[in-house]
Amino acid sequence: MSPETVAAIARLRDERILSDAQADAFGRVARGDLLSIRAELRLLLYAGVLLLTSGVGIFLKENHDRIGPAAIAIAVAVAAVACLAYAARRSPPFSWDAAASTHVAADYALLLSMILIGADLAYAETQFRVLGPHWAYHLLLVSLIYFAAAYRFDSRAVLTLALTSFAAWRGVSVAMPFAHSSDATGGSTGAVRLNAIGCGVLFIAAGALLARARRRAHFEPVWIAMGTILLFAGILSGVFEGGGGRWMVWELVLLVLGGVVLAACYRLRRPFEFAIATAALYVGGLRLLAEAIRGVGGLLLVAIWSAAALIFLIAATRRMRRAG
Amino acid sequence: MRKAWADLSAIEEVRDAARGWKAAGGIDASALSAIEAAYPDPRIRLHGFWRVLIFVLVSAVVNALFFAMQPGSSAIFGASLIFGGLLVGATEALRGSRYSGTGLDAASSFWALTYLLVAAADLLFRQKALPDETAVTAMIAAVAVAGALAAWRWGFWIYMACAIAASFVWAGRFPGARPLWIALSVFGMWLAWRRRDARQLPPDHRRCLAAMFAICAAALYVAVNLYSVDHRVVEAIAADGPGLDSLVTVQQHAAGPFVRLLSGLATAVLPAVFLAWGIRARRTLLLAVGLAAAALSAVTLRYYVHVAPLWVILSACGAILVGAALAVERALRKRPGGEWRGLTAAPLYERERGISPLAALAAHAVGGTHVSTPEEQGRLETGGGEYGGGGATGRY
Repeated sequence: MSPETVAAIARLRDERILSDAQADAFGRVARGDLLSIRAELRLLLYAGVLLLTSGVGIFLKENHDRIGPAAIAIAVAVAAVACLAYAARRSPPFSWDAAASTHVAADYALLLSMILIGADLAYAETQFRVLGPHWAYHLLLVSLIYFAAAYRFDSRAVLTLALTSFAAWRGVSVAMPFAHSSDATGGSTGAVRLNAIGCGVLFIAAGALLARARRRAHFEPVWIAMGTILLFAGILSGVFEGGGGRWMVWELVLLVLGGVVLAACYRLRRPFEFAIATAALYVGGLRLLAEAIRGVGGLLLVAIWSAAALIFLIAATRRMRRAG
Repeated sequence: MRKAWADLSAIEEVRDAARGWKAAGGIDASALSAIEAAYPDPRIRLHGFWRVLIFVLVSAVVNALFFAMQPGSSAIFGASLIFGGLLVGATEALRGSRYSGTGLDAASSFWALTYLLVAAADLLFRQKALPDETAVTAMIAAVAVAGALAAWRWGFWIYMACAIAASFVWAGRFPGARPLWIALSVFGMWLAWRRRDARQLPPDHRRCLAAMFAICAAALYVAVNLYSVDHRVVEAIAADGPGLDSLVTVQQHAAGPFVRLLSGLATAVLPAVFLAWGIRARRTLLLAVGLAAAALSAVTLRYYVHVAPLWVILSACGAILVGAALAVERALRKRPGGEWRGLTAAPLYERERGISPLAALAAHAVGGTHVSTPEEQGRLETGGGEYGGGGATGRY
């Protein structure tokens, strides 16, 4: 119950901003006479999906010797297809525009089916080595299946999985920005970095093109956000590369690209990507400060640099709001 | 809390509700504009990611300044006290400003409390103002008092949650802690429930009361849970208690059979009580507490009764949850008007959101199987792990 909202509804009705019918409907909810438990049902469904996928994961791990890989792969595939069929039956027909979800469980059945398909393909590849030395291509296959499902069923969550699987195929990982080329992963870090930057540029371009072509234009924020994150993660991995002077080159790249992205995001009113670029420039600046000054002076500079980033963010917020 | 802050908190509540009405198509853009004009909020509203970023930046500024001062061990008390005091002043200024709610005030209040508590810890432990065990008890009390004052003054519910949790830990330091926990938690729930909709309280304080209720309910559950009784979880907090080792290395059945019987019954019944109460009172907080307690009771049951392998239990629980959610949704949808006892499965005036990308990634990480490289053939890993390709390897 919200006493403030109840009082506000009465005032808004008196001022004729709300009609009687609107005030009655909103008032029931504000007084707590009617409560939606949709969020709780979604939470139950999500927890159910988590438990089911965990159970399947443990089942695969513990039983693949006993039951046999073919039987396991078929069983998981059947379960995945059943979930997909459930989602398909309860989803609206295909359209390039945003489609409102008609059933609370359709999204979760789709997510479960996609996770099962991904797990099954990985399991089959581990057991049967269909792709041989090119086994990593199974991630591309998984990614393509996810893309198809995301576009068919209008699911941003599955699109996120598709994009991360695609990046994973190219060897990109979450820990990459701070991995050193002197690590055990060694010389491959440079290749992964370029892959991350390539994926970032590809995702941003694809998102912009698909939005322009009005093909699921509402997916554009997912494409652009993932692209921006990958792009800056790739560049930051160069900035945080070990010794030598090459990190300075990446620092310059970060400065130029960060500036371009900030300007573009400011113009296009994209606060999320603006914040990502700011965060990347801030972190890149810390490396520069660490190299320049150590000790107490360095800490003071960190404080000044952080305060400058803070003031910049707040000033940008105000300007963006004013500009509308 | 100052009246101006309370008024802003009330305005925010109305504007949030209006945005929900608009998102659900209940009002049009012009009506939303009229409502926002009638309830003006001068504060800056930011995306959640911005607020996190601002919190991190403020944290960097504050801590870099503190450590740049290089307070020697003898000056930590004074330096922390001064820093804490300055940050309290900053929070006071920020809470009433247009920057309230941007992450600035949250960060300054958090570090204010942290530095004041560091000063207290320095006084108690380094300068040995009290004997060790007494100092621990006093420190816990300090956390509780500081959290409660911060919640009362600034209205952050998280501080109230910390304060109440610290209060229970403090109560756990004394003999007879378990009955004390039960009594305190019941009293705390009663107190919070009584004032839950008090018009005189600003929304921020009502959220603090909700946090207090949730922590008290959690404490009650911990006090009566069978695992907690067997492992003497509450008693482990006491200065002369069995220590934290008892959480894993049990003297199982330390309690008498009657106490264990009561505890087992309470473990089974309490979640149902919370759920029934939530349905009757139409409160999502109670439903959430009931669901969490039910999950913990299921884990407790699994600990004592091994009826099937873990994967069967997980899969069965998952299927039951999905089935129960679908059954409830279907039952509510089929009722006249789509509602039963004031409960509905329709989204009402909240924007219908899909699964968040982060939640999808988490589920994928939990359930995903990855391909082992040819060198590690025969070893199957689940739940994320190594992968490679394109001449690269990594982890996801």
